[in-house]
Amino acid sequence: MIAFQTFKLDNGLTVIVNEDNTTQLCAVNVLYKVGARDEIITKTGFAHLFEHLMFGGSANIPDFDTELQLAGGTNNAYTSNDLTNYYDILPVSNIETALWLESDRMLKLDFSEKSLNVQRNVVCEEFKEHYINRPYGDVWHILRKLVYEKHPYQWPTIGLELQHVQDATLTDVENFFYKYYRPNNAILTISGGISADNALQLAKKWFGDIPSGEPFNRNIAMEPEQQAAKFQHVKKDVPVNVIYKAWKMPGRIEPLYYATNLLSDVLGLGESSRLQHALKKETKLFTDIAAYITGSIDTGMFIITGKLAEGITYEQAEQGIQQELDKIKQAPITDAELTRVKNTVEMDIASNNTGVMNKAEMLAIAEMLESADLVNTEIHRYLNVDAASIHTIAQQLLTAEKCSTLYYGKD
Amino acid sequence: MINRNSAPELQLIDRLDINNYKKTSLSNGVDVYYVDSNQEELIRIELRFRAGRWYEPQQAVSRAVCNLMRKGTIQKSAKQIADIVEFYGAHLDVQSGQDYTSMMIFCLSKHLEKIMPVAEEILLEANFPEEELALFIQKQQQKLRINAQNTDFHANRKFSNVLFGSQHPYGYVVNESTFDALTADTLLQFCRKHYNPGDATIFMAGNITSSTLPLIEKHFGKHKGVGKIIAATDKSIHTAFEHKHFIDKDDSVQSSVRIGTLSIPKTHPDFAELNVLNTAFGGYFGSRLMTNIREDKGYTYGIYSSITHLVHASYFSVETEVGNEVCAAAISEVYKEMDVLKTTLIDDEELTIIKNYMMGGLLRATDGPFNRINVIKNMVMSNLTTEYFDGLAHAIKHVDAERLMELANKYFDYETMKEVICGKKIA
Repeated sequence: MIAFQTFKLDNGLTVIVNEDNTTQLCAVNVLYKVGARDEIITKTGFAHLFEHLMFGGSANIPDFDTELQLAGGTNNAYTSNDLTNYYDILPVSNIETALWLESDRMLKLDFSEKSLNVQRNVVCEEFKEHYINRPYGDVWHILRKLVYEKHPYQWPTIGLELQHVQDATLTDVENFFYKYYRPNNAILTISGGISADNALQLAKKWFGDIPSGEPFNRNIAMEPEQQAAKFQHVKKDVPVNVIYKAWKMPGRIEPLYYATNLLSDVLGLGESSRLQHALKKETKLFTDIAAYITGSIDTGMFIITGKLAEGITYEQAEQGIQQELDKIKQAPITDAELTRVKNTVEMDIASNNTGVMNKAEMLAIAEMLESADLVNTEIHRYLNVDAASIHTIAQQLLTAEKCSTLYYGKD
Repeated sequence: MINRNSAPELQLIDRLDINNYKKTSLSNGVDVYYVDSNQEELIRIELRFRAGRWYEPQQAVSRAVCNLMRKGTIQKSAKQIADIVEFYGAHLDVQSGQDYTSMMIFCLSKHLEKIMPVAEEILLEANFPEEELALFIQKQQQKLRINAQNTDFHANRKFSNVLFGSQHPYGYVVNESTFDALTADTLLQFCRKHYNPGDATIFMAGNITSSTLPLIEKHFGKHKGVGKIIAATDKSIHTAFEHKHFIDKDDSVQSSVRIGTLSIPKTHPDFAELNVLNTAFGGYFGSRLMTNIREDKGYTYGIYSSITHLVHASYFSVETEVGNEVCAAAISEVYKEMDVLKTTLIDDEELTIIKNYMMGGLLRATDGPFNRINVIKNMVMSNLTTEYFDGLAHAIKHVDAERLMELANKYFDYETMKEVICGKKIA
């Protein structure tokens, strides 16, 4: 249970405070509701490049990191397809430093050609390190493209190609900033040894005079329902053949999301799950197999993926998966399976809600999705799922025509 | 309007909660260290054993035992064990290491009593079924083939090889044949010898209730340990003579670079201050290496230096992944930054940043039950006391630029540095 209070400043900034007096630290988390899904197909990777530029100096502060380190703090940030999140961890006695830093870069970035040049190169090296210089590094580029035809989830946050990052201009940077990095598109959360009243006063002091941005509507192309099976076979010089099967599934807070998430755990989370036991242990078709979901805000992906054992063909491997899919469609899951996946979710949520950094992040994400309350109430949506609804989803979702299949390997 | 030009006033960190832990012993003499917090629903229990690479009778035995202990006991199959542990959403793993290994129990504390009997059974009765061993070997060999395509994998392997020698426990590398040589019997013997609960040291954190310690006593307190375990074979270090080591990987777009040398242990008088020097050089985001090679030149996504302390050796290393075409330039900048620290004093502003950052680091490292117990664990396993942290904090607060320059001259010795690169050769 995380106790918190929510406020809204006049400029539209949402402020959420969790008072935690068990620690000398505090976490200041700023979430901007912008991710790779807000990019256009000719300028991909931009939200993530922009995250790098946020450390390149702001109106009154040339070096973000230096100031935070002076205050005994540390920070990081990440970009996903849905959002960009920044967090600072520092002694609560120095909390104003974090608020000063975060508010100054929300107020105005110091857009410079040099900073853009360097960060373009840094991001290109990141692209190479994680997506090129690594076996299977391009799998998500291929899979996303195969699954999504309309929605911008068809590219990963790093972008479609190096060239897009290279081509980013200062004008692009500026436009992006004034559209998305405004208080009315952001959530500030604070967790630590500070009262809600004090925190609100400080938030007003540092963020209160930042002008709002123009409200905007997202015109994200929604993904149509898939009518026919899709298939791609990629041959690469990699040592092991892998298989990916992906189905489109409900978005992160749609009612059916919860049962779908539990279904993926029954099938492929842990050694006692069906796929792992049957296909890794019993038939030995795979050396690794898992089922999981992407948890995206819009139409997400339900994925089954595995590494084929030596000498096993893609057809044999697929047949193995299909048998397990048939079984789970024929009969409802057992009570023991249902309890297991619910206990697992309960454990996950408890782990996520531990420590100031996690709490600040979870509150911000919950607020973006629906309401900060979700951190405490979402567990009930999982606990309310019954075997019958998981059964129905298995039958309706995991069909051949709605599936995208990728073979990727030396064969 | 508020004044945004000057930073808010700072307060320095003067208090660390490091002494905030408890210690008790079980009836068999096993020490239990713990940090309790009623804020948490979770509990994490770690049992440390002298069962790492250092104690192996044969290469890869330690890792294989860790992987396979959960895969069957005299009474239960792997599936039965997984069914119980996963039913409660719990985690029960054995993690491998160079010197020590750890059995980790992590669960909602309300489920602990269901997990403990399984943990005890695994420690006492793991029986290494042939079929599980075969699956393990197949999986490890497949993993080796995949890793063989990564430049960092080759660079890391070569680097430990170069520093310690190919027969040393910290230095040897595994190949597919290393796994083929494993037998269930060897694993069983190693496990029985090294995983007696009576020889463990226990570290717990989280929601510790009145029933927790009795539960620990019940499952881990009745087995008598055998006492100190001594590693059998010769373990002398043979560092490679050559300075440069290159592994050609023609299809790579980046090169993995490792530069380093053996270093001093935590008990050495220079240790705490050398830590400050390392932080300045490459130990944090604002370091000399990061500022120059990433933020100024854009050669890499990241570059860090660190000092790693194992029980029987310590080493300093610089690690980065850089574009092939700028690899040579990046390496020469690394040495250049060493030279600058040897010849020019760090100015007050930078030194203050480093000191404040490091004090913040100590605070973060000791904050919250799960972090703090890790710090306590490292302290206990290195035979140190909390005075060690006082020493660390003292060094951070009081070391000056002259002393750091002296240390740079003493420890940044090009002659002793070994350099490993895996990437594409650029003419």
